[in-house]
Amino acid sequence: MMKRIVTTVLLGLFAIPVLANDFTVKTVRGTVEVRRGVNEEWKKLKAGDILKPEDTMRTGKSAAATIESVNKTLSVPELTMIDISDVRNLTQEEFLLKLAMENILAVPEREENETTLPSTTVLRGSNKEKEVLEDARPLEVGTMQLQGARVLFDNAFFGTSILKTKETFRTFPELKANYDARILTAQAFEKMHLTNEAVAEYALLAKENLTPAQQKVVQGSIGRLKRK
Amino acid sequence: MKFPLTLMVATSLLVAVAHGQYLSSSRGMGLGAYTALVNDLSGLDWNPAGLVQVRDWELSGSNMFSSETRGLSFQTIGGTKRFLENHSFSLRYSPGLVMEFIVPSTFQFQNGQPITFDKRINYRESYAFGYGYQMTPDVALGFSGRLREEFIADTRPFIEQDTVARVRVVEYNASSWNMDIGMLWNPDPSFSMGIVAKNLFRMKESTFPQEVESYALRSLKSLRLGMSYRPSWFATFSIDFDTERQGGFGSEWSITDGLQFRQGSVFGSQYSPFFSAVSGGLGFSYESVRFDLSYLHFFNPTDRSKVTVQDFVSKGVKDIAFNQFTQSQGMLTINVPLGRTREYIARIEHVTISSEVYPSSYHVHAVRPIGKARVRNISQKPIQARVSFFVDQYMDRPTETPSLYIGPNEEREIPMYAIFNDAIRFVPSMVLRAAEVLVKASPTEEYDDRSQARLIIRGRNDWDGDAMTLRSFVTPEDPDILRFTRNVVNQQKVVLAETSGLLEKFNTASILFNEFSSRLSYVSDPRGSKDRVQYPSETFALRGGDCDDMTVAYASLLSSVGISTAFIDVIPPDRAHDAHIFLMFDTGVPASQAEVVSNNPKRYVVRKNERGEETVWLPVETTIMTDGFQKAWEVGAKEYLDHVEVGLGVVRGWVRVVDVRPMM
Repeated sequence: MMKRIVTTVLLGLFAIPVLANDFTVKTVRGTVEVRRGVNEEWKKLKAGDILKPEDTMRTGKSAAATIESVNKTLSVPELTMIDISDVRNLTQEEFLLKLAMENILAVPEREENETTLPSTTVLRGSNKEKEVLEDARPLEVGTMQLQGARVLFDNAFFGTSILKTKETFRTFPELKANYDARILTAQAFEKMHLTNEAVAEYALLAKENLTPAQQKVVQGSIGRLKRK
Repeated sequence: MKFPLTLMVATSLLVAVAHGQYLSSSRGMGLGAYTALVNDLSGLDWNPAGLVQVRDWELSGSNMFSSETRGLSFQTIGGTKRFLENHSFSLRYSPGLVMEFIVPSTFQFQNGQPITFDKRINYRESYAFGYGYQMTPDVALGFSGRLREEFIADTRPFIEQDTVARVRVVEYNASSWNMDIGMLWNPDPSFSMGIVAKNLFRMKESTFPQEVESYALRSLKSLRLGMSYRPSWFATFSIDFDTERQGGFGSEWSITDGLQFRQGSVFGSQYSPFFSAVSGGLGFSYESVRFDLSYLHFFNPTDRSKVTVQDFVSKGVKDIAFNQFTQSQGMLTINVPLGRTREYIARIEHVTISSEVYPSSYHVHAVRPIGKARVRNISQKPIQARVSFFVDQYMDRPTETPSLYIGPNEEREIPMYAIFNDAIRFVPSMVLRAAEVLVKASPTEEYDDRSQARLIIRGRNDWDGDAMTLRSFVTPEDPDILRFTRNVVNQQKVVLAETSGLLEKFNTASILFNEFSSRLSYVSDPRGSKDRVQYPSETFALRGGDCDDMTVAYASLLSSVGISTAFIDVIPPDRAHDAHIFLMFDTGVPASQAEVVSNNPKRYVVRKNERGEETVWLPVETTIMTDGFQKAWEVGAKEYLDHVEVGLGVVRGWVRVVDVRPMM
């Protein structure tokens, strides 16, 4: 008996602690994988595994998983990719700053009178012919990320849902025509009571090549928001 | 012949021959109130704090004219010298500052033979000195000492051997130094206030005997308050009042810079009428010499000249310069400034040095202000002011700002710039230097005012901890760096030629890092701080450095081959001691092809470059020296992920991304 108690205590001491931002995998169906931090390999997830904020998880065809944290349970459907750090609520200020991050992180223009060297030496003799590569980015990755954004939206993580959608569009520009993702983004703005941003998003979407039914939905939303 | 009895009859009238009395300053006499305005030698009488208004040397002389003098009478001459910027000293010789009273007396012997002899009472202040001190830009203090001399010549009859009537002259004298203390306050160019304590101290050298004490000068302590107000450049108003319940008020009207008209009134409760005199005056300048002419007219000249002995004895004379016997008079004063004779029109009120000078980034002060000078236009006209800044040894010549407009009596902060020479790059450790700041408002003069400011120049390896200035240590043009990168690129040219053009920068950075890390070791800063940074050539020479040294060195290598870099400066909240810096570089790979670099977006950062193109940037932890580029990249990416993406460090302001733009 004593031995069991000691063993239990020791196991408890050396067990990986589950922090407030960590998620525990509750159920797994089909192929569900995790990519830890900045590693490139995907590893299979099983029930009971811990997901850290820096991790990314994805589900395969016909797969699904349920993950749970201290006060949140998230159902992840098939063909979805989610960054665990996105499963959180941002303050409106944090969200807007993150939204502006594209500009914050951009290389600033040179100031007037700035005394700098021009970007000095350039390696000569670059083989321009080699610069054309096959597109190594499977579109499915982008689609899975957009699906992840929808999961975030469905679970009321509107801020990170918008950010993920826009990030995906930056790296997969060809997905910008995705009506569902675009209208989801506009609706997320609405949910966050950012009416002007929502109208702007709808207005941009209205310029795309939409079906009459889609155009009607978009125009209707713009009209409704402007009447507010 | 016997003279058994002598009869003495004294007249009831006193003849005041105050021919030498004067009001000390023609300008003061014209205004009637000068305590808050005095700016010349007459400060010895009006307010010694006003002596500090003299700019350098100034000689003054006065003459007066009145019905008694029947013409010009030389009164006073003296000089004032300003020294050590804030001190002034004055000496005055005033042979004309005398008052003489005659008490007519008649002696009549019994035989009826009258003999007339007068008692003469003589007061004079022939010597005076003063000192003024500009305590702050707004406040000046001063004191003055005046030597008062008093003489009485009396006539005494006596009978010699009961038969011979004789008279003899008995003389008395007394002297003392009377000290005044004054203060002048100029909080604003349009307003000034002066306070003078008259006769505050008295140092007696000799005194009268008791029998003539009643004729002595009264050394009454009094306090005088004066104020002046200048609502516009052409009008000045002033008023004085003292504890003797007397004073004056007046105004001065400037027609041009060199011509003023003045008028004033004198009042006092002991005078009859209350407003006892009016004055008028004229001031004009020729070159730097100032002439002041004024006339003071009393409404009751007869009362002032015919005083009974009883009145004289009971009231006495308190102030030789101005009293109940002062007569209507005119005065001419000439002030001759020497040395710095020009009237300065701009003054430096304050100099602020906004930053220390770091030799690594000394260039920035050529385009960003090193400090600012608050300059006041002390003239009545708009000026164009320039400020120059100079540090001996570290600047070849002063830098000068463009001319800036400053309205009359207005202030303006003028930013100062500094172009340092190469000597500053070799300052081994922190030094303190005096920076000379001049303001120039007149094209004909060398300067209007000067000031000094302390400037801290840090050592060549000192760093203020700001990632922005860390860029100054990045030296891609350093021959050691160029030699290193050229050698490595040449050695690896076959490998580089085989790689995709898209990954050329990625591979070059990787090769450079591996070569760089194989030669150097990470050594934590011996001082445990990040305020000292090695230049890349020093890091190579010393074969190592701490995180900022390594980051700077690697950034220099990448910049020297045309790869853009940015510092990632992490200062965790509440854990400033864990501050860390690493870098990321631009692979040039378009964001749309990021998979070429990694299939995990968390290993890279997508940023817009200067051309607005979104490209893939890789974070690299430069202190990971032993496991090669891949590991350094992985650790750098993990740090970026933790701090920026998960920790929201950029959003919350404790992570900063600073693009490296090496200084020339």
